[in-house]
Amino acid sequence: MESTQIYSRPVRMGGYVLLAVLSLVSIFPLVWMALNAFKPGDEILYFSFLPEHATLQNFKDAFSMIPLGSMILRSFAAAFLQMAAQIITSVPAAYALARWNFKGRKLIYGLLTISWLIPFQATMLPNYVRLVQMGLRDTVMGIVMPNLASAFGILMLYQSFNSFPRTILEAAQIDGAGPFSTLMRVVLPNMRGAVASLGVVLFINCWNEYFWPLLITRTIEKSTVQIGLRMFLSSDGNLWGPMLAAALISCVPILLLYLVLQRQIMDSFMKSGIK
Amino acid sequence: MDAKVLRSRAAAPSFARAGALSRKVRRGFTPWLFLLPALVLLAIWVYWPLVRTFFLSFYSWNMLPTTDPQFCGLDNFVKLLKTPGFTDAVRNTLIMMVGILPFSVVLPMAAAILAKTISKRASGIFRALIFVPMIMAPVAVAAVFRWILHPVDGLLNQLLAHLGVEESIHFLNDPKWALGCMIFITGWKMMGFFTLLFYNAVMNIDDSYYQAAALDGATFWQQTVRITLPLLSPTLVFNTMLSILFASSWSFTYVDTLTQGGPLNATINAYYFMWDKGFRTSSSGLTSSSAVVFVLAFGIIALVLNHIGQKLSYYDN
Repeated sequence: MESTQIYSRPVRMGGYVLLAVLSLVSIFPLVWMALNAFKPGDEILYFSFLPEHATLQNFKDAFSMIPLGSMILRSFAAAFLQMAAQIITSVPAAYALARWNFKGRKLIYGLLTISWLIPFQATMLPNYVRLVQMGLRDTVMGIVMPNLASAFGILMLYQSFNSFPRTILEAAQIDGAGPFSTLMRVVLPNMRGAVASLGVVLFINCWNEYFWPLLITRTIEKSTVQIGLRMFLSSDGNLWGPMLAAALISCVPILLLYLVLQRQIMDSFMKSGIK
Repeated sequence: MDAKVLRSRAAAPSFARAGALSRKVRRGFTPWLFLLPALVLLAIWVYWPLVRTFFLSFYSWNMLPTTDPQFCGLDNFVKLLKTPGFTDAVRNTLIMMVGILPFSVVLPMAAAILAKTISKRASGIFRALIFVPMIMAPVAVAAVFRWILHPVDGLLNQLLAHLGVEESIHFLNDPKWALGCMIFITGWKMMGFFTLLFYNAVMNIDDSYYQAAALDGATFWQQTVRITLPLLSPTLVFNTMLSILFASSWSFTYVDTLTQGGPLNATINAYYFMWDKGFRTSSSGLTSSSAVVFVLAFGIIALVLNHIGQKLSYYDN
């Protein structure tokens, strides 16, 4: 709906001021973190805006204090595996819900909505005990296992699949295509965008995941970036420089994704709700 | 030979019927086949553990696989009520529900309504910037705020010193400030998301309403109160519900990394309680009984809000 109205000057000024202030407040911590990550230790305490003697020392220190390299690899592996598994399980499930009006469909939909509301803390205990018994503590599999399917992913894809024109599905059926080949050859190629943007949101969520990796990893060498970063937060010494450098590194992959796919990311977050 | 043909002819219709039947059965099964992988995984990792948590809340167990849980009736729930921090957790959870609203409803709604009045390009850039905290890793956010809020090295205290505040404030170690800080960080993180939801709703309002109102000489303020706000009510209700239900859950990482529920339980909330008082102390009884209590409480709140929401929402039909 394109607005054709011209708003009065005070209203527009108010708009600019409020949005500019909120933008500034939102972006400042990130900018401040990025700038200070490049400052030498003593300069961080002066509060000059730009680094005067920019250095990479903080990054070197961060890498020597915690095994950041292997943590990043683990975070990548865990996030990618979870995203891939969640997509693979969500696509057929969402397709089934959107395509057939079968008995029990409402029940399944209700169950999925409920599981979206169940806090992680309510299931952590049995899951933790089970994974420890399986010997999966301190492994990427242990991080990934409880999150191979995502109710949220199914519900979100269901919305997109629901908008797929039924006549095309029926045409494919008349042509003799079975439900699976209809999904692979007709639905998926047209829904590439929806699936891809769900993938991005799932990846971001998995990359930022904190609670479960915290539970399931015991040794620092076997944990993810988020848990590594926590080491700097819990240590009593104030290693601001390396902490900010590590924090920046942990955000870079997601920020790069955001720079490239900003519109799609905002769009799919909007459609999806959170979690 | 004749007999054979006859027999096969006689058999043919029944085969056909069996084929039709199996096709029918197969068609009934097909949706379930597609749902199976997701449902099995969710059953294993969500539904069944939830049921188990419920049962464990009536057992005492130290979580070691070598020992068996012992039935203890309602003991865990009695213990839960007596556990120091439980009432604090309930109180702080309630405070967070309300405290988050300026960040999840008031500011985002104002921003979304005003975003419509400025140039499309500028509003797009602003909205993209406000959204940035949403995708940042919560632990990285905690790291930056730990530094900004630090009593000696932190930017905020240095600024306050410039403004003449003599004593530095221990934001995260002072019970007066700590919960407010958790609410601010959580709200700051989620603000862009809610702005996005409101903006989408604002842009979906039919422009002809405004054109008609403008012809009648309605001011921007009158248009906002009479047209925009009523038509935003479903989004308003939805966002309020989301933030009330999830505020403490969103704050978990910050509480865990910055205050560990302290000082003096000032920042402990429902979600942190389940983890800290139960899991960390290997007490399955406290973890599961608090999970049961809080899940039920949140479920009831969700139902009530949903009911109120449907009455308050005004739809544009």
